[in-house]
Formats: sequence, structure tokens, C-alpha cells
Amino acid sequence: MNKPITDTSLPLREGADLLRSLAFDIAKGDQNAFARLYELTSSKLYSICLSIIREPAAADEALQETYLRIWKYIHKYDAKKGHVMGWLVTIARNTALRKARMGGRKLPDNPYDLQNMMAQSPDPFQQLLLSIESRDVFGCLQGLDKNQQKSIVLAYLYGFTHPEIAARLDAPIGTVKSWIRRGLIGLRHCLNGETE
Amino acid sequence: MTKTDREDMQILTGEYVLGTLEEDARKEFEKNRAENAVLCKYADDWERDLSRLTDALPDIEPPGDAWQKIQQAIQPSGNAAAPDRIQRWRIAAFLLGGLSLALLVLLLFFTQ
Repeated sequence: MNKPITDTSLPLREGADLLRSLAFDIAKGDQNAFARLYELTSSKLYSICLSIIREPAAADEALQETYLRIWKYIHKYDAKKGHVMGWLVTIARNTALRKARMGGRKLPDNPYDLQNMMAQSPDPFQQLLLSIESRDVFGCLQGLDKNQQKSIVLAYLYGFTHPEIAARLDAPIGTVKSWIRRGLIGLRHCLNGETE
Repeated sequence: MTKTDREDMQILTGEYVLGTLEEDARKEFEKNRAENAVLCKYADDWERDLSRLTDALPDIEPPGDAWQKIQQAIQPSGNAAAPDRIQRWRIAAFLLGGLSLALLVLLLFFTQ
């Protein structure tokens, strides 16, 4: 099997059929298909690991673990439950979250340090707004209260816990839990095309 | 199931997928998810829908040797050891065969 050529020019959303075809081949043990999948998806999955763990060496370990899990379990992927990229993202997030919980992430206990650290990085919410394109999960998120939006984004993309979100948004933990619960139910109604 | 029950399950499942459940609640959810088709469906829906949020993250090239390490890890590990194992079985079979032959000769010798 050759080293993957770095070519990520294929838009992932448009490449859903290709990813499904690769998943099918990988399930049969095709290592070249696995190399191609890595080539197409590793920069996104590494970014996910890094955004949650925040430490390059640990994020690198999480990425490797992610692809080993993909190799081992891809035969369980069910196309009826969603596209391949969603499945890969879930594996990467779960691997990164598990590593972060085991201490693979360096988040200071002091909320002021946490705030300083976040202040130095690009605002994740602003980044998210930049990528809003249509009425899907992004559109539905826009319909939520700002604090609900931010709480959900910080938890999902950055793996923040309730206390970390509370420190970031300068709010009591109970309030953050309430924002997330109400945000989730609003999001689900919108995604299902229901009225609350 | 009432609308409130459904909403409670949707929230619980959403919090699980977000990763904000405490450890005990997370383990309890994982146990129930395996046995509850509704929880399983809700979790699949959240995982599919929320995964789109990662479009907002910039792509970042992983370290150059990451692929090499993955590639090494997926190579079948039993190939090098297999000839040794086969050789040991052959020797064992040869010795057992010889022992059986010797016993047979002794048996024939003493029964005559």
C-alpha cells in the first residue's frame, strides 16, 4: 500500500458516493481504499481531534486510534443511518472525547486561564456563522437564542463540559444546562420540521 | 409515549451526543442504548445531524508520520510467526508418529 497522496480537493459532501464505495471496499480488507479514505478525510478528522484535545501530540494519537477503529469496525457502518462522513466524525469525536476525559487534554482548572486561552484562539461561534449556507443544522442553530447556540457549539465542536462552558460564558452551571436542554429541543423540532 | 417523554429522551440523547452527560449518566445511557431501539434511533439522528457542524472547523493537515503508524498497525501480525508454528506442529507430529511406531513394535514383540 502506498503513502496517500495529499489531495483533498474533493468536497466531502459531494464525495459521499465515493466515501460509501470506499467504505464498502475497506470492509473487504482493501488497504488501498483505506489509504484513499485517509487522504480524503484525515485533515477534517485531525481538526476535530485537535479542537477537542488541544494538544497536537495527543490529537495525533487520537487520530491514529480513530483510523484503527474505522479499519476494525467499518463493516458495521450502516448506510441507512447516514452518510459515511457522519459516521467517521462520530468515531473521531468519541475517541477525542474519551482521550480528553482521561487527561489527554490540557484545560486549566482556573476559569480565568481558560478565558485567556479561548480569547487567544479564533471565536468558534464566529467561525461557525461564517460557514452557514442553508437551512439545515446551521440554519436551525441560527433560530436559537445566542447563549443556547454558543453552549451547543462549545460542547459539540470543542468538547467543553458544563463547568467549562459556564466559565467561558460567565454563567452559572445550572443556567448552562438549561440553555443546552432548551437549545437541543429547539434544534430537534426545527430539524424535524415541527413547530414547538 | 407522551410528547414530554419523547422530548426528554431527545434531550438526554442529544446531551449524550454532545458529550455533556456526566460519567455515570453516560454509562447508563450506553447500556440502555444497546437495548432500546428508540434511543438508538434518536442517537443516530443526533450523530448524523450534529456531525454537519464540523464543516465549520478548518481542515488541518495531520503530522506526516501519522499515516505510516496507522499503516504499520493494520498489517497482519501473524504472518512472520506462522512458519514457526507450522514447523513446531510438524516436529510434534513426527515425534508422536515415531513414538506410536515404537509402541506398536514393542507390542508386537511381547505378544509373540
